[in-house]
Amino acid sequence: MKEKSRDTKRTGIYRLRGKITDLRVDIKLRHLSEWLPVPKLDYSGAGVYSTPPASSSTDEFGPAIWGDCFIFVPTCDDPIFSLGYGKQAYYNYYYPATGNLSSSRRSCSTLASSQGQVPTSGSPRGRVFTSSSSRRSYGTLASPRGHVEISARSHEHTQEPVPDPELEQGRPETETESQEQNKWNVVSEASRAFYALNKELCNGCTANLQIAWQQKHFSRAELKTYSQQKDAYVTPLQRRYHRYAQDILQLQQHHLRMEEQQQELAKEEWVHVNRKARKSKRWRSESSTMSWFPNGSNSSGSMSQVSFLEDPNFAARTCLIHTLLDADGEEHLPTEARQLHADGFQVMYVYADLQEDTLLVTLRYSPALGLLYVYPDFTCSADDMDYEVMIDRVDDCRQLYCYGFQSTPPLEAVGAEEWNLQMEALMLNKRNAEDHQGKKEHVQSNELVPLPANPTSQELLDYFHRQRSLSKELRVLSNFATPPNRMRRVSLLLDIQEAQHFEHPNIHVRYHIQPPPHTLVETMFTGTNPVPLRGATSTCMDAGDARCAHLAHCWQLTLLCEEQFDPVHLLHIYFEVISIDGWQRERCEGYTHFACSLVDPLPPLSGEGLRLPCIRPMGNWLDTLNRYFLGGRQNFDFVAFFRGRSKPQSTLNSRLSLDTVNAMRNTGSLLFRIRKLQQRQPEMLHQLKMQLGLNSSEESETDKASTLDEVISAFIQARDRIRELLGRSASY
Amino acid sequence: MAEVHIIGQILKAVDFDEPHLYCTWTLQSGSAWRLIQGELHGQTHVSANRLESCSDFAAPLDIHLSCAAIQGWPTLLVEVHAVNVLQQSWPVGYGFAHIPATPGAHRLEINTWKVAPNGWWQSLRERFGGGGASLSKTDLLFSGVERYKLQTRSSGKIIADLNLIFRKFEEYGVEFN
Repeated sequence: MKEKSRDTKRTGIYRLRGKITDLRVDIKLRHLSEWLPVPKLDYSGAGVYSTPPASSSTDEFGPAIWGDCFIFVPTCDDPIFSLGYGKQAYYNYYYPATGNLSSSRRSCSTLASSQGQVPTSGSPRGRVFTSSSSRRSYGTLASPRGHVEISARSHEHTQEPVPDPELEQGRPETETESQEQNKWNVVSEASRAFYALNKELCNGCTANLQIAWQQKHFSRAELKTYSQQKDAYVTPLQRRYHRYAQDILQLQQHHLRMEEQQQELAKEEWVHVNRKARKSKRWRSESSTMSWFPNGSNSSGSMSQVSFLEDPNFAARTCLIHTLLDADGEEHLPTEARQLHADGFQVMYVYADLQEDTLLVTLRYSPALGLLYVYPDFTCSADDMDYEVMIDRVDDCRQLYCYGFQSTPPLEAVGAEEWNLQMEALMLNKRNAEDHQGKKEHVQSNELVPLPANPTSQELLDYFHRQRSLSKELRVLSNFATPPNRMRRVSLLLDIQEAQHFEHPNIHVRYHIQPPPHTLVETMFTGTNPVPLRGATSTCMDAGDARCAHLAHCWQLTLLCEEQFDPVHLLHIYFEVISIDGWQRERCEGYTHFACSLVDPLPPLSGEGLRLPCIRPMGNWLDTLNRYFLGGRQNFDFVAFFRGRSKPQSTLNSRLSLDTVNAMRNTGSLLFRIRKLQQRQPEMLHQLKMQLGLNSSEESETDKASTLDEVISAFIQARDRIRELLGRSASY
Repeated sequence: MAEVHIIGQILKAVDFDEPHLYCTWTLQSGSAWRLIQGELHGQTHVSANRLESCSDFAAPLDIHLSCAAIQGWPTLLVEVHAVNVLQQSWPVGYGFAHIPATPGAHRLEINTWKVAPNGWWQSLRERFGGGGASLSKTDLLFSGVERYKLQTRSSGKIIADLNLIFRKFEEYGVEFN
């Protein structure tokens, strides 16, 4: 890399030399500043907080109406500049209750009270407060008793003795105060919660995170989702996410314990250390890079002795930055992901939970072209936080964040000419995808690279050379999807062709597939049919009796089964033919059934079409009358009937019953076609050939050494698979 | 990556009531499949045959696909359209079938259907005025649990001859049976 683009927010295109799985992205994010919410111009009268208290009648800032909105403009000697944030326009902040005191003092008192301690009367309160001016608003927001602290500030301004917060809690509130408290709570509740979750970020720490390709980082909602009981998860992906969530929870608990230890240590030293307040200033200058207090402690005396609990990787612990991957499913991804998937891209989105989910980076990779698209482009270094994010919420402070990210392995930027060529190939793929959706545009493959009207021989050579090279690139897809270890994939191509010779016309066929036990249904590539195990054909009007009903319904079903799958277990497909007449009366016209083994070959003519005879219960004369006049479908458990598992006590038909009332009658027939594809691990096939002596010249795969990691990973996969199979079998 | 060559022709349409027919075809496949060479869709000429209910097309197919998974196996979708003397055309048959999963020569018989008229007025219009109902969204062709609500009528058949060449499937452990 790194041809860094100076124009921000452009897409970077890079060619990967190695594997995409080697990609690592370092991302850094930090909070820059905040602004006041814009004061409302349609102010309709003095609010309760604009009325100065009786003790503050000498307002140095003029009319009381300005008390609603106070902008703090720091002076040069303000300690805020010594803390290294470098933003001259650090406007701070919104305190509707008071307008008489410098904001720094207010904020510090807020912070002090928010952290549960009241400065001692002998300490230089102002200095202590200004030391935390960079986090004053968050300290306010984090305060669990926002209004009580506001009252405390009023007392402070009038130079009255500061009351004990505990006493303040017990002080009865007036009605006006309670209204304002509710308002304040409504306004800043989200911000307060945000601060409680992101103390480090809000206090100026930089969030660092390294993200690998398709590496999952949870959001807080996902962490909550995947931290439930383990039994609630069925698929391997869910179980894997559950393990990740457990790791994060352990990390959080570990951090919490560390904080408690630090707090205990701080308390002990607070008792023994009696420091002068002057030293706290020196401490501040020494620890400018450290910006958050553990445990909410604000004791300047103890903090100089008790080291900060640094956590450079807090982004992973607090789930500040999270990712969305292909594995999460298109329903969780942005809408554009569906089209990108159709174009053959793998996508990955990096978000930050900055009071609202904010998209930071979009990564998409084209395996066919070997190109990585990054939006916005990489910064030269992750430390160059060129990109800014502004969070502007109604009735809240406007927050400004900056971030930067870089790729750890060097990438090669694609030149403009090559980029154009690849884009044309991409456009061709896109048009092909549109063709898949049945669009009528006629696409010529020769349109890939336009050929001049009167081409020279060299142009013709170049043209065909480009075509060959593009075809070659299209052939090189990433990896052929192989089944998991020790499993085989069985794909069935099913086709209901036609139906005929039923009693009534207007028929359709409903099918229900019962896969054998210990198999998994793959639903990733089922397209428009997300549930391939059941469905219905269209209703063929005026056909199905003597006239042939063309149904022409085909779908694909893909199953995963164990390599040592027992061929006794069969796949069962149940069909039910139903007619619907003009009065919307449904009648069952027949049932039929097909069973096959997943492992053994299919019947010889199954690819050409099997004609399945249909039967239905004959019933008695009352059933016949009902069927003729009323229609309806009998309560007939045809699945149990075909499998011979009817309960003896059941009044339903039994296949082994000798009662003529339960006799069945032939109806029509169904033409059904089935084809099968099997896929096994290529190593297993080689091994099988070795055993059969078909490929003795090649080295046996079993002779290859396996590392301990491979054995452990195989064990974990096998364990997950067994659990999943057991879960599935319990649901059958 | 495995490859599939589909070489053949759409031979003819049989058992259609309309005398002047042409057929459009589309090869549909999953997202793991790519077209290397050829055309994924095409259209035949208009074939007129009044004496027999058989319209010959002999439209060639030559498609080269590559795939990274066996899911999304290609499907041949055909749409048969009728043309009247006013140069108006309307669909008289939809049908689709999987491409066979074994290499070699195959003859595909694709049953087709058309959308049933929604009332007597549409029936009259279809019979005398030309034109019938057609699908506004082609994804209705492919599925849905409640697909039985789509009312169709049987139509003719499309016959296609296909020669299939599969390449490199065995390297990825794929067996055809």
